[in-house]
Amino acid sequence: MNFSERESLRIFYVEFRQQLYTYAVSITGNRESAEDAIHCVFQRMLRRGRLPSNLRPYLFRCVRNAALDTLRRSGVRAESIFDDSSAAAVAEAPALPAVVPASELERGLQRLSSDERETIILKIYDGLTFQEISELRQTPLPTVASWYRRGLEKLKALLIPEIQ
Amino acid sequence: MSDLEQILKAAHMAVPSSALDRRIEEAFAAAEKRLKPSRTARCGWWLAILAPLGAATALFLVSSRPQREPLQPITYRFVAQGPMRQFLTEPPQSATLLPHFVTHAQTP
Repeated sequence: MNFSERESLRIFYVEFRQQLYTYAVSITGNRESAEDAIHCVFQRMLRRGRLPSNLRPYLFRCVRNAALDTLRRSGVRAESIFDDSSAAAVAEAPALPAVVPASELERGLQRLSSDERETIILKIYDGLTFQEISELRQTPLPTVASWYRRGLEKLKALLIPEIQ
Repeated sequence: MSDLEQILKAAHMAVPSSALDRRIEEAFAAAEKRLKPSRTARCGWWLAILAPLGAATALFLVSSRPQREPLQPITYRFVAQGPMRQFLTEPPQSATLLPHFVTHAQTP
Protein backbone atom coordinates (compact mmCIF):
# COMPACT_ATOMS: atom_id res chain seq x y z
CA MET A 1 0.00 0.00 0.00
CA ASN A 2 1.47 3.34 -1.02
CA PHE A 3 1.59 6.55 1.02
CA SER A 4 -1.58 8.14 -0.38
CA GLU A 5 -3.65 4.98 0.15
CA ARG A 6 -2.40 4.73 3.70
CA GLU A 7 -3.41 8.35 4.28
CA SER A 8 -6.87 7.68 2.80
CA LEU A 9 -7.28 4.81 5.22
CA ARG A 10 -6.15 6.97 8.13
CA ILE A 11 -8.66 9.69 7.16
CA PHE A 12 -11.36 7.04 6.85
CA TYR A 13 -10.62 5.82 10.36
CA VAL A 14 -10.76 9.33 11.84
CA GLU A 15 -14.03 10.03 10.04
CA PHE A 16 -15.80 6.72 10.66
CA ARG A 17 -14.30 5.38 13.89
CA GLN A 18 -17.50 6.09 15.85
CA GLN A 19 -19.75 4.45 13.24
CA LEU A 20 -17.52 1.39 12.91
CA TYR A 21 -17.43 1.07 16.68
CA THR A 22 -21.21 1.34 17.11
CA TYR A 23 -21.68 -1.28 14.40
CA ALA A 24 -19.09 -3.63 15.89
CA VAL A 25 -20.52 -3.31 19.43
CA SER A 26 -24.02 -3.98 18.09
CA ILE A 27 -22.74 -7.31 16.73
CA THR A 28 -20.35 -8.45 19.47
CA GLY A 29 -22.28 -7.02 22.42
CA ASN A 30 -18.88 -6.29 23.91
CA ARG A 31 -16.89 -3.09 23.62
CA GLU A 32 -13.47 -4.63 24.02
CA SER A 33 -14.15 -7.26 21.37
CA ALA A 34 -15.52 -4.56 19.08
CA GLU A 35 -12.27 -2.62 19.40
CA ASP A 36 -10.28 -5.80 18.75
CA ALA A 37 -12.32 -6.43 15.61
CA ILE A 38 -11.73 -2.90 14.29
CA HIS A 39 -8.02 -3.05 15.10
CA CYS A 40 -7.70 -6.41 13.38
CA VAL A 41 -9.45 -5.10 10.24
CA PHE A 42 -7.18 -2.07 9.98
CA GLN A 43 -4.08 -4.17 10.52
CA ARG A 44 -5.17 -6.47 7.72
CA MET A 45 -5.99 -3.54 5.45
CA LEU A 46 -2.54 -2.05 6.01
CA ARG A 47 -0.93 -5.31 4.88
CA ARG A 48 -3.03 -5.41 1.70
CA GLY A 49 -1.62 -4.29 -1.62
CA ARG A 50 -4.39 -1.93 -2.70
CA LEU A 51 -7.52 -0.34 -1.31
CA PRO A 52 -10.87 -1.17 -2.92
CA SER A 53 -12.52 1.62 -4.90
CA ASN A 54 -15.59 1.84 -2.67
CA LEU A 55 -14.03 1.78 0.76
CA ARG A 56 -17.03 2.41 3.03
CA PRO A 57 -19.21 -0.67 2.36
CA TYR A 58 -16.07 -2.78 2.07
CA LEU A 59 -14.68 -1.75 5.46
CA PHE A 60 -18.05 -2.09 7.17
CA ARG A 61 -18.29 -5.61 5.75
CA CYS A 62 -14.78 -6.41 7.02
CA VAL A 63 -15.70 -5.14 10.49
CA ARG A 64 -18.91 -7.18 10.38
CA ASN A 65 -16.99 -10.36 9.53
CA ALA A 66 -14.36 -9.70 12.20
CA ALA A 67 -17.05 -8.94 14.79
CA LEU A 68 -18.96 -12.12 13.89
CA ASP A 69 -15.74 -14.13 14.28
CA THR A 70 -15.23 -12.61 17.73
CA LEU A 71 -18.84 -13.36 18.62
CA ARG A 72 -18.44 -17.00 17.59
CA ARG A 73 -15.32 -17.33 19.73
CA SER A 74 -16.48 -15.53 22.85
CA GLY A 75 -20.26 -15.98 22.81
CA VAL A 76 -23.11 -13.52 23.24
CA ARG A 77 -22.63 -10.63 25.66
CA ALA A 78 -24.82 -7.70 26.45
CA GLU A 79 -23.00 -4.42 26.42
CA SER A 80 -24.89 -1.49 24.98
CA ILE A 81 -24.13 0.58 21.93
CA PHE A 82 -25.36 3.56 23.95
CA ASP A 83 -23.32 5.62 26.34
CA ASP A 84 -23.84 4.27 29.88
CA SER A 85 -23.67 7.71 31.42
CA SER A 86 -26.36 9.15 29.16
CA ALA A 87 -29.71 8.81 30.79
CA ALA A 88 -31.98 9.25 27.86
CA ALA A 89 -32.72 10.37 24.38
CA VAL A 90 -34.98 13.39 24.23
CA ALA A 91 -37.95 12.95 21.98
CA GLU A 92 -39.50 15.89 20.22
CA ALA A 93 -42.28 13.82 18.77
CA PRO A 94 -45.69 14.21 20.41
CA ALA A 95 -46.65 10.56 19.82
CA LEU A 96 -43.74 9.32 21.93
CA PRO A 97 -42.74 10.09 25.51
CA ALA A 98 -40.58 13.19 25.91
CA VAL A 99 -37.69 11.22 27.30
CA VAL A 100 -36.73 7.70 26.28
CA PRO A 101 -34.09 6.11 28.51
CA ALA A 102 -31.13 4.72 26.62
CA SER A 103 -31.64 1.41 28.42
CA GLU A 104 -35.16 1.18 26.96
CA LEU A 105 -33.84 1.89 23.49
CA GLU A 106 -31.23 -0.81 23.96
CA ARG A 107 -33.80 -3.30 25.28
CA GLY A 108 -36.07 -2.52 22.35
CA LEU A 109 -33.27 -3.00 19.82
CA GLN A 110 -32.29 -6.30 21.43
CA ARG A 111 -35.82 -7.62 20.91
CA LEU A 112 -35.63 -7.12 17.15
CA SER A 113 -34.25 -9.74 14.80
CA SER A 114 -30.52 -9.38 14.16
CA ASP A 115 -31.20 -8.32 10.55
CA GLU A 116 -33.67 -5.63 11.63
CA ARG A 117 -31.37 -4.35 14.39
CA GLU A 118 -28.31 -4.30 12.15
CA THR A 119 -30.14 -2.45 9.38
CA ILE A 120 -31.48 0.20 11.79
CA ILE A 121 -28.02 0.76 13.26
CA LEU A 122 -26.36 0.97 9.85
CA LYS A 123 -29.00 3.37 8.55
CA ILE A 124 -29.49 5.64 11.56
CA TYR A 125 -26.17 5.63 13.39
CA ASP A 126 -23.73 4.83 10.60
CA GLY A 127 -25.46 6.85 7.88
CA LEU A 128 -25.30 4.15 5.21
CA THR A 129 -27.83 4.24 2.39
CA PHE A 130 -30.08 1.25 1.66
CA GLN A 131 -27.97 0.65 -1.45
CA GLU A 132 -24.78 0.50 0.64
CA ILE A 133 -26.41 -1.76 3.24
CA SER A 134 -27.63 -3.97 0.43
CA GLU A 135 -24.04 -4.25 -0.90
CA LEU A 136 -22.63 -4.81 2.57
CA ARG A 137 -25.12 -7.56 3.43
CA GLN A 138 -25.17 -8.90 -0.14
CA THR A 139 -28.95 -8.86 0.06
CA PRO A 140 -31.48 -7.35 -2.36
CA LEU A 141 -32.34 -3.74 -1.63
CA PRO A 142 -36.12 -4.33 -1.09
CA THR A 143 -35.29 -6.92 1.60
CA VAL A 144 -33.04 -4.41 3.38
CA ALA A 145 -35.73 -1.71 3.19
CA SER A 146 -38.26 -4.17 4.55
CA TRP A 147 -35.99 -5.13 7.50
CA TYR A 148 -35.66 -1.46 8.31
CA ARG A 149 -39.37 -0.64 8.11
CA ARG A 150 -40.42 -3.74 10.07
CA GLY A 151 -37.75 -3.08 12.68
CA LEU A 152 -38.90 0.49 13.25
CA GLU A 153 -42.55 -0.59 13.52
CA LYS A 154 -41.65 -3.25 16.09
CA LEU A 155 -39.48 -0.85 18.02
CA LYS A 156 -42.20 1.78 18.18
CA ALA A 157 -44.68 -0.77 19.42
CA LEU A 158 -42.19 -1.94 22.03
CA LEU A 159 -41.22 1.50 23.29
CA ILE A 160 -44.60 3.17 23.74
CA PRO A 161 -46.32 0.68 26.12
CA GLU A 162 -43.20 0.16 28.20
CA ILE A 163 -42.69 3.79 28.97
CA GLN A 164 -46.27 4.98 29.32
CA MET B 1 -37.27 11.30 9.25
CA SER B 2 -39.90 9.76 11.52
CA ASP B 3 -40.34 10.50 15.24
CA LEU B 4 -38.74 7.25 16.25
CA GLU B 5 -35.80 7.82 13.94
CA GLN B 6 -35.29 11.20 15.60
CA ILE B 7 -35.34 9.60 19.05
CA LEU B 8 -32.84 6.97 18.01
CA LYS B 9 -30.63 9.60 16.41
CA ALA B 10 -30.69 11.75 19.57
CA ALA B 11 -29.34 8.97 21.78
CA HIS B 12 -25.78 9.32 23.01
CA MET B 13 -23.60 6.55 21.73
CA ALA B 14 -20.76 4.78 23.48
CA VAL B 15 -17.48 6.08 22.07
CA PRO B 16 -14.37 4.07 21.24
CA SER B 17 -11.60 4.31 23.81
CA SER B 18 -8.37 6.23 23.34
CA ALA B 19 -6.64 2.83 23.55
CA LEU B 20 -8.20 1.90 20.20
CA ASP B 21 -6.93 5.14 18.63
CA ARG B 22 -3.47 4.39 20.01
CA ARG B 23 -3.53 0.82 18.70
CA ILE B 24 -4.63 1.99 15.26
CA GLU B 25 -1.92 4.66 15.25
CA GLU B 26 0.65 1.99 16.14
CA ALA B 27 -0.61 -0.18 13.30
CA PHE B 28 -0.10 2.71 10.87
CA ALA B 29 3.38 3.41 12.27
CA ALA B 30 4.30 -0.28 11.95
CA ALA B 31 3.07 -0.29 8.34
CA GLU B 32 5.28 2.70 7.56
CA LYS B 33 8.28 1.00 9.15
CA ARG B 34 7.59 -2.17 7.20
CA LEU B 35 7.61 -0.17 3.99
CA LYS B 36 10.91 1.62 4.67
CA PRO B 37 13.17 -1.46 5.14
CA SER B 38 11.57 -3.09 2.17
CA ARG B 39 12.63 -0.15 -0.02
CA THR B 40 16.19 -0.44 1.31
CA ALA B 41 16.08 -4.18 0.83
CA ARG B 42 14.95 -3.70 -2.77
CA CYS B 43 17.96 -1.40 -3.40
CA GLY B 44 20.18 -4.00 -1.75
CA TRP B 45 18.87 -6.70 -4.06
CA TRP B 46 19.54 -4.57 -7.11
CA LEU B 47 23.06 -3.85 -5.90
CA ALA B 48 23.64 -7.51 -5.19
CA ILE B 49 22.60 -8.37 -8.73
CA LEU B 50 24.32 -5.53 -10.56
CA ALA B 51 27.65 -5.37 -8.73
CA PRO B 52 28.88 -8.91 -9.62
CA LEU B 53 27.46 -8.46 -13.11
CA GLY B 54 29.47 -5.26 -13.57
CA ALA B 55 32.61 -6.83 -12.15
CA ALA B 56 32.27 -9.85 -14.43
CA THR B 57 31.77 -7.63 -17.48
CA ALA B 58 34.85 -5.55 -16.64
CA LEU B 59 36.92 -8.70 -16.13
CA PHE B 60 35.73 -10.11 -19.44
CA LEU B 61 36.58 -6.91 -21.33
CA VAL B 62 40.05 -6.73 -19.80
CA SER B 63 40.83 -10.38 -20.47
CA SER B 64 39.55 -10.34 -24.06
CA ARG B 65 41.86 -7.47 -25.20
CA PRO B 66 44.31 -8.72 -27.91
CA GLN B 67 47.79 -9.32 -26.52
CA ARG B 68 50.36 -7.02 -28.23
CA GLU B 69 53.93 -8.01 -29.08
CA PRO B 70 56.46 -6.24 -26.88
CA LEU B 71 57.75 -3.14 -28.65
CA GLN B 72 61.08 -3.53 -30.43
CA PRO B 73 63.42 -0.69 -31.34
CA ILE B 74 63.44 0.05 -35.04
CA THR B 75 66.73 0.82 -36.61
CA TYR B 76 66.87 2.64 -39.91
CA ARG B 77 70.02 2.48 -41.98
CA PHE B 78 70.49 4.89 -44.80
CA VAL B 79 73.10 4.03 -47.38
CA ALA B 80 73.99 6.82 -49.68
CA GLN B 81 75.67 5.89 -52.94
CA GLY B 82 77.51 7.65 -55.70
CA PRO B 83 77.76 11.44 -55.67
CA MET B 84 75.43 11.62 -52.60
CA ARG B 85 77.88 9.56 -50.61
CA GLN B 86 80.69 11.87 -51.58
CA PHE B 87 78.50 14.86 -50.94
CA LEU B 88 77.74 13.59 -47.42
CA THR B 89 81.20 12.39 -46.47
CA GLU B 90 83.08 15.30 -48.01
CA PRO B 91 80.62 18.16 -48.20
CA PRO B 92 81.90 21.14 -50.31
CA GLN B 93 82.51 24.36 -48.45
CA SER B 94 79.91 26.16 -50.58
CA ALA B 95 77.04 23.72 -49.78
CA THR B 96 74.49 25.51 -47.64
CA LEU B 97 71.32 23.62 -48.61
CA LEU B 98 70.47 20.38 -46.95
CA PRO B 99 70.33 17.34 -49.19
CA HIS B 100 66.87 16.16 -50.35
CA PHE B 101 66.12 12.68 -49.02
CA VAL B 102 63.78 10.24 -50.75
CA THR B 103 62.75 7.26 -48.63
CA HIS B 104 61.24 3.93 -49.70
CA ALA B 105 59.65 1.81 -47.01
CA GLN B 106 60.24 -1.87 -47.48
CA THR B 107 59.42 -4.77 -45.25
CA PRO B 108 62.24 -7.25 -44.86
